[in-house]
Amino acid sequence: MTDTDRPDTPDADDTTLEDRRPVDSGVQPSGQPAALADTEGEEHHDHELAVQTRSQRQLIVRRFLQHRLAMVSLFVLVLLIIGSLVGGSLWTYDYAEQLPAFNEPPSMSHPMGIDDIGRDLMAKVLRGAQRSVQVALLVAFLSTTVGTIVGAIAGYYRGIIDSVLMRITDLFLVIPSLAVFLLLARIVGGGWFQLALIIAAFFWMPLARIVRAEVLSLREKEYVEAARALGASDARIIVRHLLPNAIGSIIVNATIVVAVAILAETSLSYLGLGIAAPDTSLGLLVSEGQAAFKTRPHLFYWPGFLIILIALTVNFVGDGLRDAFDPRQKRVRQ
Amino acid sequence: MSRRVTAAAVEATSTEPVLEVDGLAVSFPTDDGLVEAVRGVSWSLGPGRVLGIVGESGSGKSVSANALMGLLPKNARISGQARFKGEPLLEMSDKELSALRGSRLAMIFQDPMTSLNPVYRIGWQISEAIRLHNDVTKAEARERSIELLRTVGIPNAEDRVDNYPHEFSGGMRQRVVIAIGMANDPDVIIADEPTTALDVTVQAQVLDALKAAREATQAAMILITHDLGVVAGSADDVVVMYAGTGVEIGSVDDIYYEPRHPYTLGLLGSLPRMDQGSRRLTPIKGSPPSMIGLGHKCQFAPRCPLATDICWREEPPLYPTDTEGHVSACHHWESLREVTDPSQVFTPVEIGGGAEDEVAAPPDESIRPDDDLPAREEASP
Amino acid sequence: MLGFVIRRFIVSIIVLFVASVLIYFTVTSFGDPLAELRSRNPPVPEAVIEQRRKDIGLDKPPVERYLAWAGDVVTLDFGDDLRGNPVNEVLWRRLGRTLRMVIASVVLSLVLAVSVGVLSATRQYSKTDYFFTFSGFLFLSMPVFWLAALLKEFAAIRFNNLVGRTIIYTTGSESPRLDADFWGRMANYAGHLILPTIALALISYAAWSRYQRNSMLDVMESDYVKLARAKGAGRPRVVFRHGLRNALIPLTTIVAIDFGAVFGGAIITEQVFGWSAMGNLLIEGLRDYDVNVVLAWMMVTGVIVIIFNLIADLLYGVLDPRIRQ
Repeated sequence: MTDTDRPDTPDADDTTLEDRRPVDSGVQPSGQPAALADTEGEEHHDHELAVQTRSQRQLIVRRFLQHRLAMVSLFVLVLLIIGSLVGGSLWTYDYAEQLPAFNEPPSMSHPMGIDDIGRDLMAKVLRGAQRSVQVALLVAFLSTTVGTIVGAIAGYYRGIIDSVLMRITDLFLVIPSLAVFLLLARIVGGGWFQLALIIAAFFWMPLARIVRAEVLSLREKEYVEAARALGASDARIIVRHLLPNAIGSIIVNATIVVAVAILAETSLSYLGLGIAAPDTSLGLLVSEGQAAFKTRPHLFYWPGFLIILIALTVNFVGDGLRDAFDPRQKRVRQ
Repeated sequence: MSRRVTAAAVEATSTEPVLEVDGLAVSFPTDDGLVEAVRGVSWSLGPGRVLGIVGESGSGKSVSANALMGLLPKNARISGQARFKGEPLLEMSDKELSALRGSRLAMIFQDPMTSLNPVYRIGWQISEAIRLHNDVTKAEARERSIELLRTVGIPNAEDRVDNYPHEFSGGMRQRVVIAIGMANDPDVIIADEPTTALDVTVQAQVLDALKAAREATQAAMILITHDLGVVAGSADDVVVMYAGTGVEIGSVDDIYYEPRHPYTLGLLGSLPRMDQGSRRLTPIKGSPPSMIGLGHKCQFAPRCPLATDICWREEPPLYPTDTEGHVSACHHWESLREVTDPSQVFTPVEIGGGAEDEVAAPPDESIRPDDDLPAREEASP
Repeated sequence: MLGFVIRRFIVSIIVLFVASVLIYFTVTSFGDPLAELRSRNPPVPEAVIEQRRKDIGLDKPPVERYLAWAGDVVTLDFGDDLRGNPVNEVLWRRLGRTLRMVIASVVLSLVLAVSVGVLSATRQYSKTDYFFTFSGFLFLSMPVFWLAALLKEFAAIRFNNLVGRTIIYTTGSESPRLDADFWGRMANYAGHLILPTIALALISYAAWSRYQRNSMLDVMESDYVKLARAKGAGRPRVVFRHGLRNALIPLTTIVAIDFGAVFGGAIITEQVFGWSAMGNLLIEGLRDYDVNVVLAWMMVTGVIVIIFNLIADLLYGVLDPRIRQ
């Protein structure tokens, strides 16, 4: 079940931050170097080349900025994240606050109404968003960090560590991840932090494989040999030479993890085995909203929209990043 | 099914060119500007003749061939005229061209490792070429496939016809591609850099296979390459292309022994030769220009030791030279009459201290349409 | 090629074995099977509890317990659940229902993914392409439970009202106490299957179709496709016989890897539509700390996943002759 037995589709980006090639920026090529005098000793057409040296990083950023959808998505996403993380504390009511009224429809002061045990639903939605975003971000951070470290070591040193890594990832492919999450969540309990750990415990593996693949292909390059000849330690080579060139894949996959993590957490919470009352999550809200669909459909829709919006913007940003990092895409005007 | 044309019949055929190109131009719009890959090239190919098209990467030789076959991407802008046996090629619909492709006009690509479909047996792939244009049974097509494999020199053809491409070496795969090309006795075989991706030792085998294909089908051939040695051995006539247009056209003897364009002279001087004792190479300094925004001048001027004012102002037309059919796009072609050795025009390579490479505009590599060609070798020490 | 499949099979067995060890010790670490006994009122005498311990085998060392369990599992004896009923009684029927949903949705997903992938690739940058790309992203970002719930609330009711009969069902995998002939049963199953299958398929097709589109684009740029055109092949032949035939190959890998995710999605979908199948079995088993049920669930699911992966491997070998060496 590993992908070492199949022809790999090459997706390792070969360009490195080491490359600083002079790149023409749409310049008049009819200029002639002044030094090339002709047989009659005259000089023609002074050197008019405007050749700019652009680092890879600038090119990537430029490409990303040109991707309109990704830029808009990034803007919306940042708003969403900030809103989720601080919205709850800015809102008038606290999600656990017991209000004197019950079962009220939406009104000016309570845009989503009040639930049947007297809590402001807007506050609950904000709280749910906060928790879900927290989990997703934490998962992304943990799994990316662990995955990168393990993948880099496995790819660089190969040998036993590499084999062990591959076998472990194979192992976890046998049981559907959701089932393992459910099992672990039941054992460990429903706090958001524990949930993030459980989910991250799975998600570091695909990233480790990707980093491993990149490091495997990059370690053969000449500049690695050169660095070694100069006496650079292994750690230095990995950190300063190999990882920066794998950063494209790492970042793109980190964004994917955010999207998948939020879907995983909300699914667990929907099933009742994730974040549980008295705390709340967007998934739990959808479940409650579904139950109250006849009377309060907005409670079903809004949390759902939020989940979709967050995941969608993350996916678009990830796609824009992938386009920016991968120069193989040739957009030719029609 | 196979047309065996006798020599007498060839002579009896009119000397109407089987393929004619007149002012063919191809350009591609890109984010960086309009790439003029081919800027007006004209030549004609007689029946049974071999035309070598020679030039560096980016000279437009592959693009012009693909344009004739209708294999360019959809955004390509093609203008000019091309006629196959009098029929206009460039105006044909894809359907009309499909009828010609593979049956009357065949093409062989550069990289044999990727030219064949990896999931089908090669017998199937050759038979496909046959059955697309002929109403024959599978068995008949298979027999013919085996016969074709023998012609191009594949040993043990009856067994190997059922192999997959990955079971063949590069040279053998290229010969399979040649077999596919010759399957329906085409009138023209276009070989686009058939030996570039192969080892020198294998090149000879492939060239032999091409020769066998020509003899069996009596087809005319266009041989596109950057290797002058390949052209010398196989071609009757030569078109030298530079920066998207033909700069010298003539018979192979004219081009090799009486070149009338400094670029041709430079190419010849860059070639190490066994028959000339020890002699310093005379490379052409600089690189071919970017194909965007070329001005109106002789495009070779930046690299030409003979360039004068007029060269920088006017793009030279194809001047007729001493021999019939030998033309050169150089304002100073006459001065090349006295030249007997490239070192008289180009500076020989210094051993030890290298002469600096005076660079003309480095081309923007990202817009090169000939993407599958190998990296351009720098002509500097 | 046979050697290839056999090798994979052996590796799978080893992986399954190692996984079983992990699973056993993880699952048995939680929950005290005697907790129910202990919490009773009036309190159960210690001797009875001790006897029960011996009956279940809890007094033996862990490794021995594992081996005993493993031995039973290999003979498909999964023991009894907390209520004393053999796990096998419930397990296989429920597995059948889940497999119905999973297989149907994988098939539908594949059909959608390939069609959309080919369409998008051949009409690259057109409105169709952008539409499919965008909708693909949308479904990719949508939680399956939300989509399923949405379909449940709307699609069924509206459609049924339109037609005047109940064709699309929203609850359960089949009507209870169904009394019909073979075709009647099939129709009934289908009616219950439609919505869950669509929900599940829409989510997984999105990822696959993007992949298929990219795969198709890569393949269409290749030299052998160009050669096929140079041979005189018409566009449909080039796209399908040469293009798609090659572009399908990486898809088998993707589907194999994603199979676990589809299964996971099925668990969720089953809950939305109230199916009494594997999803429910697991959730209830976890809730009740029913060790035997959970263990059985894990092992059987693992075997199913492995079987599907092997099928994918076989298919890969059929599609790509290069791997057969």
